[in-house]
Amino acid sequence: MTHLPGSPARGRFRPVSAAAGFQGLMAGLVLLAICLTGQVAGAAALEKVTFMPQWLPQAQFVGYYVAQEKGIYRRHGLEVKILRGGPDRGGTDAMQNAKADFGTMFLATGIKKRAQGLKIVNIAQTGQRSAFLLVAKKNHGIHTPLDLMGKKVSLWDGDFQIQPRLFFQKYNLAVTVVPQSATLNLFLRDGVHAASAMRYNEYHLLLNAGVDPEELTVFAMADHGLDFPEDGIYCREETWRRHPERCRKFVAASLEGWREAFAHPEEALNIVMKYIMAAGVKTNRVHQKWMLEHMQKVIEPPKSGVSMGFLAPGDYERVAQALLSEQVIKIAPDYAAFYRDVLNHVEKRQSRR
Amino acid sequence: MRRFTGMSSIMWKNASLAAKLIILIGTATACIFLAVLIYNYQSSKATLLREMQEKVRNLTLKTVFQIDAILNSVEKVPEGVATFLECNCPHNSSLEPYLKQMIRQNPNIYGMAAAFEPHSFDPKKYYYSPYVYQGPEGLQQTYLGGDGYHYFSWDWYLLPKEMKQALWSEPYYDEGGGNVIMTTYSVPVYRLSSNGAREFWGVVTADISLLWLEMIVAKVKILRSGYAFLISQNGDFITHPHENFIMQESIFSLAEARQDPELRRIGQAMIRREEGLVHITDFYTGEKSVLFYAPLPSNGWSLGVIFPENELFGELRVLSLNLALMGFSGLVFLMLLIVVISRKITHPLRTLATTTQAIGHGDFAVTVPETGPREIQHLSQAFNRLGRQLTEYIEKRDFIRDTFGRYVTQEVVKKLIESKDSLQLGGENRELSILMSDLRGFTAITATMDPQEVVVFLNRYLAKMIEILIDHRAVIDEIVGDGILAFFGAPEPLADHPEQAVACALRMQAAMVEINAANKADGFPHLEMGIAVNTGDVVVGNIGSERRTKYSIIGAQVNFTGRMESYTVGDQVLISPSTYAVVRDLVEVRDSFQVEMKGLPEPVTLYDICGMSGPYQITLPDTAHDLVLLSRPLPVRLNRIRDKIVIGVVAESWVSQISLTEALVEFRGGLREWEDVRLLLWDEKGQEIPGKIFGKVVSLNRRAHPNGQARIRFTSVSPEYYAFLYQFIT
Repeated sequence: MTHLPGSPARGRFRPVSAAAGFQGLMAGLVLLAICLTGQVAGAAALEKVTFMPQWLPQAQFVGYYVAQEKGIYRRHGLEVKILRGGPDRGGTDAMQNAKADFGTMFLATGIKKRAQGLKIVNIAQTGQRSAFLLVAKKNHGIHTPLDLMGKKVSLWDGDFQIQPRLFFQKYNLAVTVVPQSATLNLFLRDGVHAASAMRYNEYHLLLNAGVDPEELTVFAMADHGLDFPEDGIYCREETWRRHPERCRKFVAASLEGWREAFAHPEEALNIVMKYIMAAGVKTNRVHQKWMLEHMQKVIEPPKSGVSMGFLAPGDYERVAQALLSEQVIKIAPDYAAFYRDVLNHVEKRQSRR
Repeated sequence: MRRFTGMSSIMWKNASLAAKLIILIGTATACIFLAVLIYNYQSSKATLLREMQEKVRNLTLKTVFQIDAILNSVEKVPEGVATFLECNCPHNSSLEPYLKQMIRQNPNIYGMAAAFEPHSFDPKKYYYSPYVYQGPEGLQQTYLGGDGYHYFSWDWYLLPKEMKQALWSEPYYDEGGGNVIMTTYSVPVYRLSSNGAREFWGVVTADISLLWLEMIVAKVKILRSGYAFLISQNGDFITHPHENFIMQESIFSLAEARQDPELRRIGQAMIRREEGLVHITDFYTGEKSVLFYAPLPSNGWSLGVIFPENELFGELRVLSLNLALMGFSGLVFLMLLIVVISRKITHPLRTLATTTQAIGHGDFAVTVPETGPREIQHLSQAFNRLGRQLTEYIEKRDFIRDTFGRYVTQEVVKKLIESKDSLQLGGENRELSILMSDLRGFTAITATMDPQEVVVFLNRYLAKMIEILIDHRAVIDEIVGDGILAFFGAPEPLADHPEQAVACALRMQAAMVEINAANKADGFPHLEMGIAVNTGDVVVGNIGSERRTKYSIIGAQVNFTGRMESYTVGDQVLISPSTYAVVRDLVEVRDSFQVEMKGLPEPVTLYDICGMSGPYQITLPDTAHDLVLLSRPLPVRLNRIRDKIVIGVVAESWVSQISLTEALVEFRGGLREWEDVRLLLWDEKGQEIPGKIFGKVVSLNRRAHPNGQARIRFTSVSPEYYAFLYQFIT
């Protein structure tokens, strides 16, 4: 293996870079065949499926690990193999290269991929709210959005620039954008005035690097009309078409895993820490605890009125419109084509039968 | 509480000498020892801490400089390469061998890279970054950059570019070199642009393994478990004895997990490149510890050296504990010593106490050994002296009491001995009864007797009288020859002193029968006694001078009693009117008569009593024998006597009637009533009767006879006369 100079401490959130390429669907076809013939096997015959989250093990995906460890998937008749995501692979990669049956992606990424012609469908929108923040230090005189005028702001590349750029647009800000590395060191050393951060991750990493919350000015995208839902579960359209029941089971079990994780956070943390240790990810329990708590705030936002995993058409439209306006996509995919409300859909089918 | 303190104070008062000494000396010694121990502990602790702080500070700074020296030496290499690039604008054919050469010359460096802005080194290449590193098979070279590795957005490139300065990266795990922590020093390189401005061109980096650093830090040992740790500029642990912290926890995540804002503040001070010493609870061991921290000047990392206070003070505690044990043993030894010494001291005291008890029981002969400490010796000597003196004193006292007691009642002796005040001179006015007795004609009777015989003769009489007097609680004031002066009612008040005095007088008189019987058997003369009893106010007390004191009475009533007594004849008890007034109902009066007394205007009635009824039941034998009328009067010569001197003679007198106790005498001449007389008689042959006979004129009858008739009561009759008289009676 090649040594990478200046490689970051792993396990910190890193945006998934867009990568082109479409590989064969061999693995998927094999799984399909298994599924087609495996219906009769009963309880003993579990459907084998694979799942790849978009990043290395961390509490951002604790619901899936809990569903696995607590036997929820098996109870739903699935034998799930959770593949490891990471900087070089993730939900997008899994979809594009058929590395897994199911994967997670940001909504914006999902829409973009669909618009680019990747036949994927969103079968559950777990993250209902945006956790995206721009953080700045008050000692640089930044207290309101307008204070960012002319300042250096570091942004992750790709889809992570959509919200901040709309934010700058909204406030007519001209800023110097600097690429943001996998760490916040540039921001910590005052190399930039503001930086991107996820509330459940980078924001807490700042606190754990000795920065006090009082020292920071936080611009939460959600507070500025840019509340884009984030993590969602995706599969290829073909998988959905052939195995709607399998998709339904996976979503139902995964959501149950999330509920279980929120109900028993310490146990969930034990589980996620086990995965983290196995992957050799350098992080700590305190940080994962913070992440779990803040994941709950985006997955089960208070007073949302939306049931867990549902992609609200309004949210979808808002993100699609933003992508259009940023010219990330030229045509927005149809909501109905993009999203499958698998839980209700299957029920409808069953009732029809 | 109060009751308790009361109880305890009583207990304290009754505690033994040993217990008191143990409590007092023990407490005082323990207090002093404890104070010294505490002072010693505290001051040693402060000194130790001060010294240790200095030691830790030096050790930390030494380690910091040691690390920094290595980092500094590494910094020179990429800085040199950067200078080389800026000056020479070399081609890749010269840069890459140069990098290799640099690594060869600096074995500390794991790998070096130069990375440039897109198309800036080689216009054809978007990415240009040769990377030379020490692979398993010697130096290896590769090129960084590509779709999978967009190095422009990595810290090692981005930070020097944006910060416009050379800097060390945060530590990271090498993906290829195993579990080794690495850090990279990146130096920005600039060149002049086409328009002449200085523009960013790229960076030169040097990667080093931090294995040596881990070893340096691991070598820092303080006391038994003191250790050092290193944190990065973000507070992440680079080295720590607890491996799970390394590259996973930061000092802030620990602070958050432990909810320890103090630790967070310490972490903030550390990453702010401050130097300091704090007392903390070790976030790893949980022990109270001292932490000293100092920054690495090169990269702002912070070295912390921490050691548990317990270990620093451990030896001191052991020392103090040993001291405490020694002190305690010493204290126990001291207690035992106190017990032994105090027992030794109190042993003679206890002996003394037992001996004193013996003395208390009257054994004055006991002595204590005169040994032990000087004070005790003195005490013993004094005690033994006391015993001797007591013995002497008691002997003297007994002698005095016995001797004195013959003449005064035990009551007086007792009062004088027992009461200090009673020896004071002075007296009090009190009503007493006074008794005076006298033997009739004693001087005359004994004039011819052998003196030794007189003493035996007198003592027989006095012994009996004193016995009776003491029986009636009389105080014998004075015995002069045959005369006794005694009083009743003092020193102890006696309510019935007149009755006692009268009864005593009657008994004394009655005893004369017995005495005379004895005298007669021994051939001694017949004795007759007169007693006078009077009651009245006198002064009673210690009368005399300091040298000679007598418990005595004085006053007119004493003189009065004396005069009364001169009116008595043998076998007679005369009581005064004041006495009679009290005993009137008890006494049997034989006779009463009036006398004139010197100094008194009125005649006084005296009562001759012969018995007492009530509880006393005394009756005197009737000694007044009936007068016998002589057939022939006996010539008699009367010598008038006053104060034992013959003052006149009545020559022409005759005894007309006679008995053993009195006579009726016809006389011619002067004779006074109550006058003492000596009678001189002759037998039929005209021979003067040898011996003597005295009498008192108890009545005169001048009218009944031409000459005069006197009734003479014999007061003293010698045996010869007794025999002479006896012939007339029978």
